[in-house]
Amino acid sequence: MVLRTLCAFLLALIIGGIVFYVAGFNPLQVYKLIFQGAFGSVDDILTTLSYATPLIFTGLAFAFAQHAKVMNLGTEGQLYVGAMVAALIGGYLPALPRVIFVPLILVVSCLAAGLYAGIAGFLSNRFGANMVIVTLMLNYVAQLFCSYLVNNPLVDDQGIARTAALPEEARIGRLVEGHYLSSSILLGVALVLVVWFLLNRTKLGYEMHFMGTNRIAAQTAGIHVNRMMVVTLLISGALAGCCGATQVMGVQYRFTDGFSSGYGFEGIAVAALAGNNPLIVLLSAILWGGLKSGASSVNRIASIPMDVIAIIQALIVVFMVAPKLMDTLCAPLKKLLLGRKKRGAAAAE
Amino acid sequence: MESILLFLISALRSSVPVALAAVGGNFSARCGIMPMGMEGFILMGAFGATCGSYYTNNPWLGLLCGVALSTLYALIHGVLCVQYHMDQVICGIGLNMFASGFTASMTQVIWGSRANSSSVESLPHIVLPVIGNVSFMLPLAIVVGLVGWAFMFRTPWGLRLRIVGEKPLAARTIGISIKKYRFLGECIVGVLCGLAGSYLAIDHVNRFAYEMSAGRGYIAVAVNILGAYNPIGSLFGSLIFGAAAALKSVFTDGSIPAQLLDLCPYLVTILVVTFAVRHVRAPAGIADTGEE
Repeated sequence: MVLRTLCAFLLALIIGGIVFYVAGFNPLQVYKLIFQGAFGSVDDILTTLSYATPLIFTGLAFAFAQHAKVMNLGTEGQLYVGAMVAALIGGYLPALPRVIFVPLILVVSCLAAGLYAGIAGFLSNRFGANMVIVTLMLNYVAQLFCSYLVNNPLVDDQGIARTAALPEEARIGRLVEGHYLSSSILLGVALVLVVWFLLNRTKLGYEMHFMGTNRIAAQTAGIHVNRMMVVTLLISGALAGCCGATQVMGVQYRFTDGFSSGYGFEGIAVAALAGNNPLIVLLSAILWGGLKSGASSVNRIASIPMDVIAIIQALIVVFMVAPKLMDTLCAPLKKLLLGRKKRGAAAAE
Repeated sequence: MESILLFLISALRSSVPVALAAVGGNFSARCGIMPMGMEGFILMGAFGATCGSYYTNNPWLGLLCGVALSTLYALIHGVLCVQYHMDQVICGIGLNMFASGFTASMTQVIWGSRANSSSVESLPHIVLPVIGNVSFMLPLAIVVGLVGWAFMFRTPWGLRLRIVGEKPLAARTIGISIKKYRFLGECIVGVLCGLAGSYLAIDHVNRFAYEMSAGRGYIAVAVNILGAYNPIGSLFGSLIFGAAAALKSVFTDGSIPAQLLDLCPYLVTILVVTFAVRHVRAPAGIADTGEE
């Protein structure tokens, strides 16, 4: 499994490198610069973490639902809903003391995003709608509707498509002095632990696993499969909503049109690389965050095509769910490793 | 009257790419492969067509390039799903993500901007009675739908293709090659999505734009369901989406905000997959590899 992950990652990097090469850059040089840009200094690491923060939430959201074999492809739309609700409450309602206001906004916006995800579950259960199509279409609906809101009723005096700025009471502060990394990463780490606990130590997690492994057996054993699916989507949607809300409350302090650079779909890659394990999602998110922040810092020197990161992510998604393909590709490598081990054992004897 | 005619023509124009992709999707679904990668195929087709037209200055060669690239991409999907038994949905989504990243980075490499290519030669239009100046792909889509229907329901190959899609194991037992027919299905969906992509890039407009497929691949899946996995049904089904997209050309005065008009096709898709799906049975062999 570890070998397969490593192989997949290397292969994805190589194919990404080919694109860099075609673009006229030395791939090794680019990767070295990306690594330096991502983890080279304390400041760089903080930047990497700030890139990783939204990915923790969306990665968790996708990984969580995958445990019940529910494919939540609607994280992008759900995070828009979460962000918009957070921006609306924070920006337009009278501010309360910070201790109450911040958690209140978070809870309400996550709830809204969860309910938005629940729509897909409801339609799928009640009418047998194709979940993949519905969740993907809900992405477009949420994005376009939020875009409508900020372009029309909420447009600001200067004609810029954004909501009013959040007051001080609604903002999540910075983690360290002198860097814009938001403390919402702590919330992300806490949620990683919560999700791990939910999946491994509770009845809900057990039932989800059961349902994910064998749906019909789960139904026979008395698990309300349909209800479980909606619950899974609610929680998954709430996690995705957290991503949007924390971006609004901790980074941008308002909702800007098109603020998400595809965090939802990047979450799929985060979850895929982590094998849907919530604890590893944290590492995986930091790795992807590092790739992104490193690439953007390289981009300041030479304009490399940033979308190569998206290519690498897509390849990871493909490779990680194709065990048969990866086993075929890994076979010579495995033979080499095992052969050496055997020879080593023989030599020791 | 004038505006109604304009609306209808616009609806026909907008439904062409969806119709082409949906007819292709029928073949994919009927041979047992969930066509979730059509979004990526269309995007690749559009990119290939733009590239071809840019480098050769000949839109017909561009069309050829678009179709070739899209077919190649569909065959990759085929190799992953048929040969390596990958989860068809995730594979499709992964390839869509790849297509989005690949086309964006290559657009930046070739034209210096990830958002748009520079303008290229576009395909000539033909003049039809009543409708007027349209792309040749409009009649082509209708012909493709009819021929597709005839192939699927009136030829032995179509029957075998459907057997592979319904019960792969049974097909194998009577000596029909699952792989052969599934790759045939992938080829057809690749070619037709390539046409759809070329239509978007070098016919509808004359440049490639970031994510220009805009969910049409997924909408085509919904059209498949609406048309009961029948090519002719898909032709009619795509008209609904064409109409939803054409609303934009009617309300040009800004009385309804553009974003809300853009939203319509997606809302219609959700309604369709929610309420039409009850009366339609999907091919039973989707995601079934046919191995014990």
